[in-house]
Amino acid sequence: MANPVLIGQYVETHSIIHRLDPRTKLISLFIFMLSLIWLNTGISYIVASLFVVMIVGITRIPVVIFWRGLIPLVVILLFTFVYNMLFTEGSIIWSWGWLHITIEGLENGVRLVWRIILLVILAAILTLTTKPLTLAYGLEKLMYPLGKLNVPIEQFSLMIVIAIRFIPTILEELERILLAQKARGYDITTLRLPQRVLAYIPILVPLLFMIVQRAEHLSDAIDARAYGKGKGRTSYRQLQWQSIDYIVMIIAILIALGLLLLNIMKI
Amino acid sequence: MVYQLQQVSVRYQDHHALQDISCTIEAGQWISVIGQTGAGKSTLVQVLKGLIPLFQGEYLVDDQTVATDAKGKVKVRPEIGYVFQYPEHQLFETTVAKELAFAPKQQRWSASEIKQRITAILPQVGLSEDILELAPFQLSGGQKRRVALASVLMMNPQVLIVDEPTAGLDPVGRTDMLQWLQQWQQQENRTLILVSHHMDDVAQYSDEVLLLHQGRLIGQYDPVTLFIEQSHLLEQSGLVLPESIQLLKLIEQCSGQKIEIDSCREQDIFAKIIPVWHRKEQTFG
Repeated sequence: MANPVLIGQYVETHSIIHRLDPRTKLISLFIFMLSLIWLNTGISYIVASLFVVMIVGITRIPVVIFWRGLIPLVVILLFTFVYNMLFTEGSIIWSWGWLHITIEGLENGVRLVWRIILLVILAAILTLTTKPLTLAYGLEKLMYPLGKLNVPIEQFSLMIVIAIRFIPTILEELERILLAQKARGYDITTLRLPQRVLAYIPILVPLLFMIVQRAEHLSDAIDARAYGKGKGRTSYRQLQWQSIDYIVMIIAILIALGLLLLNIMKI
Repeated sequence: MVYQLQQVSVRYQDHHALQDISCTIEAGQWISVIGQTGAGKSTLVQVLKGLIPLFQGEYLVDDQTVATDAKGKVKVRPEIGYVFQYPEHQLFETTVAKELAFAPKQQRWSASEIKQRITAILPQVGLSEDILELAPFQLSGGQKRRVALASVLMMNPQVLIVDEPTAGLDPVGRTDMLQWLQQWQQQENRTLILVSHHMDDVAQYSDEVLLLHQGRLIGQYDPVTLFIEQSHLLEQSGLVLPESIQLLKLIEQCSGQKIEIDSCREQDIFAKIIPVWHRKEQTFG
């Protein structure tokens, strides 16, 4: 089947970011994303944005792929901006009935939208540069200490891996149904957006049926291979920290601290 | 109607699924499309139905070029019915009645026309009207497949494409399905395009065979030419001869006698090889 590149799907460009340990990417991005929450001043926004642009450049992934990831969020971004613009107290620059646009509202709206865009791009960097199974494995390793507190890390990890493995299967099934409809004279892709959304609803029934059926088969197959009966699972591929991983984490911490400092000093 | 592909290529992202395909589908014939997995069989029939855009080449119907848009898309051909592989997986409506009425509704048929057609089609595929209000998921595997077939036949297609219609069926179900298709094709004088891996079925039912290998069309042959005279092409394409032809070759080898055949149908081959075998038995005791 001819699937287009999916939003957030892994894209291989052999960049240095691709080669990093998944744990490094998770930790560094988490630290940097936290620092974005503190953003307050104009300079801090510019620094953070430049840093994000720099990482995007290093990944060597075409910018259009990041742009495609943002398109589905347009409605949310627009809503966030309008909500902030209209419902923030401050100096009124335009009003109509009970609606007021304030300077502070405009500022808040722009800041919040900008912050969300940066966060989405960072999340996209993680998924575009890390294979889903590697990411799940990295997550499992990071959560390893929780296992000592009897948290079922292994099951959780398997759950994530299965969920990821099911995405292409579901898309394939969806495409089959759409193709079957097209063959019988109903092409969903020619509909306008609101109608298209409604047209997807009846397809959900057979799709859900298929997913449950496949899930049942899979759980039987897992049981048949005596999952959970012996010692803990081992892994063929082992993750190992390299010096570049330490360097990247230090840079992420320094940038985060720098942003924090800029906001404390109100620069 | 005569369908022609001229130097057609199809691309999926970064690889050619079909390359430089030229073939002709004449009306009223049973045409089989064969090849290994990934040879491009399903892609070829989807091109004929108008489901896949052409990357290069021309698609002609009755010598008229079918218009393509900038992306190579052609309009879906309503006169061609398409039954997908594992058709039961493509049932999407909540009841069998709705499933059957789906395509006619797209063509704005009236409710009475739809009902009339359903009443005519169901017995043809061996189903009763009791199942009309059931959800497709409540039916058995065989019933689902018949519903899928009926939903395509609702539009009375001039050409029927069936992609591996016997996949997952037991031997009896397989024979039933193919015999039903042959009966329908001959009685209604329609064109049938079968995509199959089973060389026995292809030899038994086809008037013509399209042999594909790695996205290229090796040739368009009648069964005798392909299975007897050019059988090396099958081997080169990673396929095996039908069992009846293998037996024929074995008996030719044992008896040292060339057996002339003019049909690859199992009964015709047996009619030729049994006397030779008997003669050989009498000679050597």
